[in-house]
Amino acid sequence: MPEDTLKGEFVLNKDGKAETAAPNKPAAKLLEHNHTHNSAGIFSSLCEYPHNISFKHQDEDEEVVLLIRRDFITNLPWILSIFLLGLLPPVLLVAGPIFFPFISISPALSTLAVAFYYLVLAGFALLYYAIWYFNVGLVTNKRIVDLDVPNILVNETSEAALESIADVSFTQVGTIRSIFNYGDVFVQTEAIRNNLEFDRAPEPNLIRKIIGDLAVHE
Amino acid sequence: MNLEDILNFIGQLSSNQDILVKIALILVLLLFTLFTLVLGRQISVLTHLIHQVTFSSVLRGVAYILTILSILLIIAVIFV
Repeated sequence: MPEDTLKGEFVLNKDGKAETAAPNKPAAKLLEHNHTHNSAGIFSSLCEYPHNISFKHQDEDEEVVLLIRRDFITNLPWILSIFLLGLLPPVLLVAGPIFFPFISISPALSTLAVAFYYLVLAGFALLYYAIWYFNVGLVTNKRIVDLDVPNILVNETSEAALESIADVSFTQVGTIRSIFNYGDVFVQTEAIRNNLEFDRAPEPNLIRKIIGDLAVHE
Repeated sequence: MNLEDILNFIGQLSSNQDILVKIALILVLLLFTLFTLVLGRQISVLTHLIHQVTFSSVLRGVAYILTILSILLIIAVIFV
C-alpha cells in the first residue's frame, strides 16, 4: 500500500508509529512561570497571580492564579449608611437642645457617648469589610477554592479539582451589573452537589475564560 | 436600710439623668466589648484560612484595638 494514501488525524511516520495531531494549548500562557505576579491590595476584588496571598492547606507546588471577591461597588450601601450615620451627632448637638430641652447631661458624658457612637460605627464598618474581604474565591493551578462567609460567625469552604470541572458559565443581569461589569460565575463540577458560585464577581467573562482555559488545559 | 430608703435612692437615681445615662452607657459598652471580642477572634480564625502578607496582621490589630478602646471607654465612663 503506498504511504501517501494514508491520511487523516493519525499519520504514520517512517518508523510506522502513529503521531497524533498537536493539541491546542489555549491556557499554556496561564501556566507558564514567567507570567507577571501582581500584589493583591486591601480593596482588590480581582487579581491575577497574586503573590502575597496564601491559604490553609495550600500545597508547596500550588500557585494562586486568580483571586476573586465581590466587586467593591457592592459595598457602597453600607459605606454610604455609615457615612450618613456619622453625620448624625453634629446634627443632634445643634438640634438636640431645641427639640429636647428637658434632656440635660454633663458635657463629659455626652462626649463619651459620642465617642462610643463612633466606636460602634467603626465596629460595624470593620464587620462589613471583613465579611466582604473573607468572601473569597481562589483559582489555583490545581483546584478552585471558594470561601463563603455569610456572617462573621459562619464560614463555608468548598473546593473542586480543575479536572472535575464540567462547565463554567456566568450571568450578568440588570443595569447596575452591566454598567459596573460584575455578575455571577457558576462552576459546574462532575459531582452531584459540589457546584461553586462566585456571586457579584468583577469581569465575569474574564473569570469564566480563565477557569475554562485552566480546566481544558488539565 | 428599709424600704423607704431604697425607694428614695431609686427616686434620686431616676431624677439624675447623668447616672441613668452612665448606667445605660456601661451596659451597652459591655455588650459592644463582647461584640468586638467575638469579631477579633473570628477575624483571627479567618486570616488563618486566607492569609495576605502584612495586611492580615493589620486587620487583626485593628480588631483588637477596637476591643481595647471599648474597655478604655468603659473605664472612662465609670470614673467620669
